[in-house]
Amino acid sequence: MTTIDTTPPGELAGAAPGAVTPPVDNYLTWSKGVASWAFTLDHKRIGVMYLLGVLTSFLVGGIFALIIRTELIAPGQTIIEPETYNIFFTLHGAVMVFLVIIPSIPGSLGNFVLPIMLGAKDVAFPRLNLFSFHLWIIGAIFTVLALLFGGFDTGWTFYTPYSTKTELGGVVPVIFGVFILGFSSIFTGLNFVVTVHKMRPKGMTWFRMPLFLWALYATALIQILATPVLAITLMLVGLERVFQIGIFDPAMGGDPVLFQHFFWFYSHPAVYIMILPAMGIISELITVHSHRHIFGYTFIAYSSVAIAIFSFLVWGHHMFTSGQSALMNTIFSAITFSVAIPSAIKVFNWLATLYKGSIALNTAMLYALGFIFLFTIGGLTGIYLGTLNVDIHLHDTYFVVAHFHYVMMGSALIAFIGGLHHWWPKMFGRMFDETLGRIAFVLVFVGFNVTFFTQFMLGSHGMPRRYYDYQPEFTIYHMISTVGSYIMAAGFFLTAFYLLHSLFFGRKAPANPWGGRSLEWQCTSPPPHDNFKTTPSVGDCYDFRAVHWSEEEQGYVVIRDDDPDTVSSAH
Amino acid sequence: MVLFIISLAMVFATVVLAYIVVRMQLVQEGDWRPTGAPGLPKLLILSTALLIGSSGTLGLASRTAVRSGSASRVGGWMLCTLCLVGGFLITQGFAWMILVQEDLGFRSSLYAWLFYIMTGLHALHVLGGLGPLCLVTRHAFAGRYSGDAFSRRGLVYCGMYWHFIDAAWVILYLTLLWGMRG
Ligand code: HEM
Ligand SMILES: [Cu+2]
Repeated sequence: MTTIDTTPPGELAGAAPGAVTPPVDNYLTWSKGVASWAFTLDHKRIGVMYLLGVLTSFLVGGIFALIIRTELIAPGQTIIEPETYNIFFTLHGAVMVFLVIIPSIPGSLGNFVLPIMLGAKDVAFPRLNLFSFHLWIIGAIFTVLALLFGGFDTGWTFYTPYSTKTELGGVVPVIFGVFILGFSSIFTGLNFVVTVHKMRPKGMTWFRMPLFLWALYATALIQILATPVLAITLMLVGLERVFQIGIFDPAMGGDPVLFQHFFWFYSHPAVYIMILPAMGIISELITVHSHRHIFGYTFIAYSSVAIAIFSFLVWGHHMFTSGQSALMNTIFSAITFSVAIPSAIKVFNWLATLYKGSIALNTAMLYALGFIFLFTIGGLTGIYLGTLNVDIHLHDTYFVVAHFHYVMMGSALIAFIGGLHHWWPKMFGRMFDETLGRIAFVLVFVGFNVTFFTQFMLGSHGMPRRYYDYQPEFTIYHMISTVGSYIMAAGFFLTAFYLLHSLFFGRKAPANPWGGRSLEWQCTSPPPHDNFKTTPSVGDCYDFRAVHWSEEEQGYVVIRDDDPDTVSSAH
Repeated sequence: MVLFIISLAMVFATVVLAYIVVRMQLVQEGDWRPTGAPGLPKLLILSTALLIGSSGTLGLASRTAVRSGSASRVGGWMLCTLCLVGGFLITQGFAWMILVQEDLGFRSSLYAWLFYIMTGLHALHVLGGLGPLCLVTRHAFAGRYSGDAFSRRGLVYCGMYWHFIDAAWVILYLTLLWGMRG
């Protein structure tokens, strides 16, 4: 097997395009049977299984969302009971946060791409990686079990004292489930940090790493530092619920606000666990699809780390109305503003990269552009909320709901979908239908804004979040929002359709369909079991002058004239 | 491994912080330690000594290994460590029993609850470390770490974990002692 960048295009001349099937194995068919997947140590298979799990959870969480929106289409009861409504919005939040967004990018795309980008065979601890995935499955099972035990209606935040007092029996199972998911997340983080430290190939210094890896690295650090706090906090809540005594119980002299401190000490960093990998993906998509060297590499890399550090210092902005002292509120408000700086640095660098690039409006690129737009709105409204006096009015209204949907769904999830399109040909060796892809993007993008922009208005007019019923004057907004959610759902179903369709009927993907420069585009699609026969060498992974279109390949090839050594090394 | 330990340290830091916050609040309100509630059993001094001792013998084990000591000497130190750790767990168990006999049920007050939570959490981490410790002891007797061994990773990681568990206990113990005043 040769890697593509070492095969001069001329060598394949004569063979009809598309008929060239290089005599290589591929990881999908490398071995067969359910057990060969369930107990595989191959990071690519683990990534694909995560993908399947995450997308299934997304479907489940999405169905809950549609039920919630349908219930809210008109005031009063529409389709479900108030108690059921409480359970459903809680499940929607918990599933989307803990089972979808947090594991989505690191678990599926990260696992798949990270070792290949490093030119490595696998992550540093393949067994630990498999174990993380199994933990994820067990955690998911507990979350489902929670439903059988009567569900839970605490909101995804599990605020005490309600979570230790509610009658519903599903609280302990779900807390245990989230506890286990936390471990899955910690182990994945550990694995990535060690892999990035130990397995970079020759020539790839820290500042030659693809930016996606920087982002995953920063994310992993947050996962390792913040998640244990969540784990022990949830454990204390669980014990308190079982024994009816604990430090969060005001009746015994405990302190429920302490729970909020602990919870947000994890959960604010956790929002960066969601957004940092997304930003990493966007950095890749923007440069590859505009065929232009990334602008401000070091700024983007450092801002990832800066965000990771700041994220530990701002948790108090979720508690402005929980009775913190005025001094604390002011400090937290001020630090919250400073988070905006590294975020804005990234946005400006992306825009500068696009400027004068030759932009290909592929589906993946559309998602990247959509991300920039939606993240800007989400981030700016975050500043609104971080402003002390404004937040007193907006706290616990739909404004907050809209804010975090813009950043979690509009940014993190959109980047995940964009990344999925970007690496889909690599993962499965098939091209999807671009036209349908663009149509689906428009549906999702329009639907998203219709759904959530209205919620900013709802919130500033005073509609509280998590309510089952509302005043008639809010009806029109809720109706528009619900219609938007249907449009979005149509977009996602269309996406599911053409992606599945491509698996069976799609055109065979070339090794490098978009003109990428990093290492994952230099092995075949789908990659062979071992990724690379020999450790490939890397140059500047954003130097697109070496990338050329090749008719024979029906894709791009990387021909490096700066380093004749690698061009001929495989012969 | 360092990262793993930092990760665990966050767990212990959280409980210690919780303890401090709750105690300060309750002391202000004047009902932290219920009247007549027993203080810390003296046995804890013994268990602390045992745990520090085990950390020491483990250190000796790795020193012997590096200085190309014989397999049986490295193994011997490891066995000492195991015994000391076992002793620690047993004394902790006795301490719990004494408190229960003195009628400090874990549901009686937050004062009691926090004591059990903190010692329990720590004991769980000790228990969790026992498996690897046994394994390393066996390897030590088999001569895996002696002479110019291929890798002493197992022994080194075990040592790091154990020193951490030791340090965590000392901090917990100091916190508990501080909690006794007032
Ligand atoms: C420029 C950056 C950001 C700032 C300044 C910011 C600020 C805030 C503030 C002040 C709140 C509290 C509002 C309230 O409850 O009254 C909030 C809520 C929230 N933010 Fe952000 N945010 C930012 C970015 C993000 C990102 C990137 C995410 C996730 C990917 C995110 C997710 C959330 C969530 C989930 C909540 C609500 C949690 C809940 O109460 O259920 N935020 N944000
Ligand atoms: Cu926050």
